[in-house]
Amino acid sequence: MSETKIQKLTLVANDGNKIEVDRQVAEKSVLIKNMLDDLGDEQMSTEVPIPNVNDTVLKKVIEWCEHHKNDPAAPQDDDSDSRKKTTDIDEWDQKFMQVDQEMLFEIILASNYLDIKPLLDVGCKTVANMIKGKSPEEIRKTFNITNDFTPEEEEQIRRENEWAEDR
Amino acid sequence: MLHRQRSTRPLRHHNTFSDILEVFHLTWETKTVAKNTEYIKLLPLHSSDSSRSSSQDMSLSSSSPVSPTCSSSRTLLTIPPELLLQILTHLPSSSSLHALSLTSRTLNTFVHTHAATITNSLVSFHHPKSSQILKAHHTENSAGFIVPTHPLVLAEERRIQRDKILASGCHCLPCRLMLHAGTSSSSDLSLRSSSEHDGLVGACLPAQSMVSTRGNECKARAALEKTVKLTEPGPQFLVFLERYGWEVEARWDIFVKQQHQTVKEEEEDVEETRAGDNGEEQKKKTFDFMIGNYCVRRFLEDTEKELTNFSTATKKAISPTLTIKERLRAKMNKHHQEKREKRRGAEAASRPPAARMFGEIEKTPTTTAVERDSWMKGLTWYHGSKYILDHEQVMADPVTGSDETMKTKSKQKTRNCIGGVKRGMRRVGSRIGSMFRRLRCVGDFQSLDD
Repeated sequence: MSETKIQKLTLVANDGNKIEVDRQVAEKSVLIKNMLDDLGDEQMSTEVPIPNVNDTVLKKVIEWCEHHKNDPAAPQDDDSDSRKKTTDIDEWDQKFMQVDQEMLFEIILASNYLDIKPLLDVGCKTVANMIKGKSPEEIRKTFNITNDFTPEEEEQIRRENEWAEDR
Repeated sequence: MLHRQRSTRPLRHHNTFSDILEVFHLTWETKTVAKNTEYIKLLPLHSSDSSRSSSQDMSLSSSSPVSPTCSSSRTLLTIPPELLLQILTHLPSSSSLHALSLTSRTLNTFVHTHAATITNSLVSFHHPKSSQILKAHHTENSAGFIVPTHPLVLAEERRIQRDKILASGCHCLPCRLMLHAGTSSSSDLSLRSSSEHDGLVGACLPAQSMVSTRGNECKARAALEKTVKLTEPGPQFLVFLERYGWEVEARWDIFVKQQHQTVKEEEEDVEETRAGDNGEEQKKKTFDFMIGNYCVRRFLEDTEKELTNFSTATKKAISPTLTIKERLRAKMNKHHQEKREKRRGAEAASRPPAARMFGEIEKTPTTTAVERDSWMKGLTWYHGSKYILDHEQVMADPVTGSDETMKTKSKQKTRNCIGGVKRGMRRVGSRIGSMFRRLRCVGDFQSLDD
């Protein structure tokens, strides 16, 4: 069996834009990797449609994959210690995630769809860091959430907050 | 990933990527929609006025299949619930849930609907080792929460209950049975198993019936009802691990290290095997005692005190029948308390650090997220808001609860009280009058003076 692996893939975003990427980069996505494994190299010459991700988001995801293409594969076990106990984000990833909120959530959704666990973790950690240590009002401002509590509930919340702050 | 796993169906017969992707999309979307439908079913009834927040209600996400480009704008409230759960799992401490649950009704409902899932994932994500040491898993009564099942935790909870019964001096049957089922002394290092007693008690009177048969005459009832347990549903175990997880791990490491040393010594000297066994047992008991006494008991007592304070503070605050006098008194009390606390703080700062108890260890001075933030917030997001909901239910109750009914009731009570005092005064007056009349009949006031 002499298999000559094709090194380039063409991904097609939902708006029709084509992006050519290295196979190694594309295989950071478990979704694409599994499909490549299932189909074999015979089908590799065709384009890979990614109908749920638009061009901008896909480019951003590919940028992340390219930067991390040489990272060791994360263990499949969900309980592995590598993901645990840390809210620290790599400096490059921090800069990468400095985007507007809409893009941030789009990246999270795309990474979830394409099954790129490390990117999903980075996205979730970024949002979690935006929540931690903030008051309800600050969270509302950060995420543009409307306060829909009734005045009575609001009064109760205010008292609860006062009590909690006194601790 | 969260909602999708690699398809197990044979894919070889598909010819193009489009075919394969179609299968993937179909599986993915079906699963997501199914999950969202499940989420809607889980929504509690109190969020019935969804019309007000319908634009933000997360249940709406079911109407649109969750794909990255379906919506024009993505926010924290419009992402799929499973992804929001994933985000919450990355929160460094449970206290952030307090603030999050107070931002909007939608998030409040979400956090409460998925309280068990969120708590469990935070426990297994941040404290895998300590939760394993304390043998944390689901039990029948834990309502989806993972709780510790280690005998040391159960024994300490029993001891706390036992101490409360002894302090109350109650002699009712359930209390006596509970006392017999417990250990002999709170300072007992042995933590002996009370399985025999439990068996007898269980056979005669199961735990549930013990609670139900505890009548009003039980003096320990109020104290026992207030008891906080790590084995009960709620985020107590998570907060416990955030506060004492490091100590559990440290003590466990010491215990394991000592065990290894004993094994090595035994290998060198086979004759002393029996003595080694005893030593190992003693070390295990010491570990149990240290964790039970210095961590579990301390945490449960602190939590109970704080939750009682919280409940009293919020209840007093919302009471509609507070008079101006009472409000002024409360203000004065608060002012005095603040003064006292300031004085205490100044005294504590000038005082040298308190001597540690035997066997007590201290954490290295690093500031974790939990220490910076109040640990109680990790409990109030669940227990506090539960209180709000309870209060809401009372207020909404057409028979007992509405504000008007409360006011009318209090007015009626005041009227009854004044009426009672008037009647009493009349009775006393008539008695004094009759006494004077009798004395006049006798006609000798002078003799009384003499």
